Amino acid sequence: MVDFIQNCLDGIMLGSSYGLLAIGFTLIFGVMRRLNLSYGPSIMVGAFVGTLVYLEFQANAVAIAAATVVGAVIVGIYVERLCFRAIRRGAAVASMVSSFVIWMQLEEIVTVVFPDRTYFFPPLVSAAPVELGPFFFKLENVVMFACAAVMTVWLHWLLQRTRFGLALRAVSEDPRAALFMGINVGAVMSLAFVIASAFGGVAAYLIVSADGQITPLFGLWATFKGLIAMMLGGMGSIPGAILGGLLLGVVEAQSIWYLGTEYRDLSAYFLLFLFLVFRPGGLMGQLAVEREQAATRRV
Amino acid sequence: MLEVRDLQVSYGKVRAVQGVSLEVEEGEIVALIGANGAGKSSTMHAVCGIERPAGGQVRFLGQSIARLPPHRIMRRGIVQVPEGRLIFGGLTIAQNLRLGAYNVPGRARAEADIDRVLAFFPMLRDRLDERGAALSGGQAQMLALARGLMARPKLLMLDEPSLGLAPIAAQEVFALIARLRGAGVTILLVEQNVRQALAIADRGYVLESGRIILDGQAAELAEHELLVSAYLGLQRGG
Repeated sequence: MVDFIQNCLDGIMLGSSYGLLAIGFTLIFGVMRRLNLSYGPSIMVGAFVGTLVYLEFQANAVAIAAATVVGAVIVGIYVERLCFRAIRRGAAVASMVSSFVIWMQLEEIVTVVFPDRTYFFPPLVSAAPVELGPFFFKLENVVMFACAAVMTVWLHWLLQRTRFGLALRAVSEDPRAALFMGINVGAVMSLAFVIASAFGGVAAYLIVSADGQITPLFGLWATFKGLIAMMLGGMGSIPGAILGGLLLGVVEAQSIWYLGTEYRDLSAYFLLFLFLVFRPGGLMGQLAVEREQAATRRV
Repeated sequence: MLEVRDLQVSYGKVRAVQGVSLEVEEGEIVALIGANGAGKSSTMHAVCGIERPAGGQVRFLGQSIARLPPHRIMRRGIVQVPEGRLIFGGLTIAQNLRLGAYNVPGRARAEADIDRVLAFFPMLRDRLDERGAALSGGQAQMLALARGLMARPKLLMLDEPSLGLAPIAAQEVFALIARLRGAGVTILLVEQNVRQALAIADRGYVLESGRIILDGQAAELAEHELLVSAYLGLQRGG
């Protein structure tokens, strides 16, 4: 029982970073009704910018984290210009395919600039795990969870309580109607993209610094985790993204403990399969499915 | 106030508006009349910037606005209440109203405006926290008008405000439009209900295939043989 609860705690902390990745996906999908496949790779580039700052200047953790986030945002803007702004009126599939192309491009660039493939990434904290009763807490995981919690609350405040949040929700519900309100729809979409990229950048820093290393494959990994967590929670739903991330984290932690490390990803895909068959709308239910249908009608 | 010269709007190779010229003076209600596809909505969309004109000039209060994006045009005081109302069903009525004032600087003023606007729409006052999707067609049209007023329009463009409404609800809408003129709002009105539109309008333009074929005082237009046979006669016969 203690093992099971310990796994749940580990899973929740790990899952909070999946939640951040999923928020990035779901925010872009919710506003643009388009999948950004190069989301994972763009935050991977951000993490390599952080690596570069570390290698060149032996910078401290704050500077590395800042470089990672700024790098992720800049690449995010690049992706938005190329794959989403240029083809905003075109078919949604065109954006998805071109974002896949940019994914390949980003991976190639990183492999050329960083030929060693695997690089050391300095940890945020290097303290021994904290013991609380029968349970252990890794400090970096606690930081991960705290960051995710604060950022989620901030995003909720932004969406529910500010003028920009209202505009964002209006654009996400009906971009054409938003035009008639005098909302600068393009600017709102771009800003949503920047926020999503910043969230991804923070998630990337927390995950990579907890791992202590980075490879170009992190992009693929982040896209998978973020996409699965988003699908579990329900596409377009922010609370769903968090819940989906936590669920994915817990299931992974349990399967690592009871089945073995090699079953970690397999159990994640199996979980996704079960959801797609039995609850295609995800945890947040039918709402997201209906919005998706409404979106398809608009596209 | 509004001056449109030789306006052209194209969708790909289809030319929806082919050289429309019209004027709206301050304080007027001007009706834009024509069959489906005559180019009424396209003309309005070009004026408020939703569609980019392929040619021609649009001047508002003496300044050219033909190349401005919609949010900049709205800030100058041209507000369109779109066909189909386009209420945000997932947002509350109060949020819909606040979105109407999105371009009006000063949040406190927007809250005061809600009070001022609701004086015209007492039935919305008790339902501010309900979702837009809960409204009937007539109520949704009232909300769309209220939302348009929240933007503090100098020129309000109404695109088919009575379309799809029950006759009683349509009557309310027309009565309200007449009251708005009394409150100092200039109105450009697109309506399929020609008789009603000409009854409240000062002047009218008749569009056919993207061109203006007739214009004049509303009372004269209502008697014109072309309109009587094409629209009014048809309505009379059911």
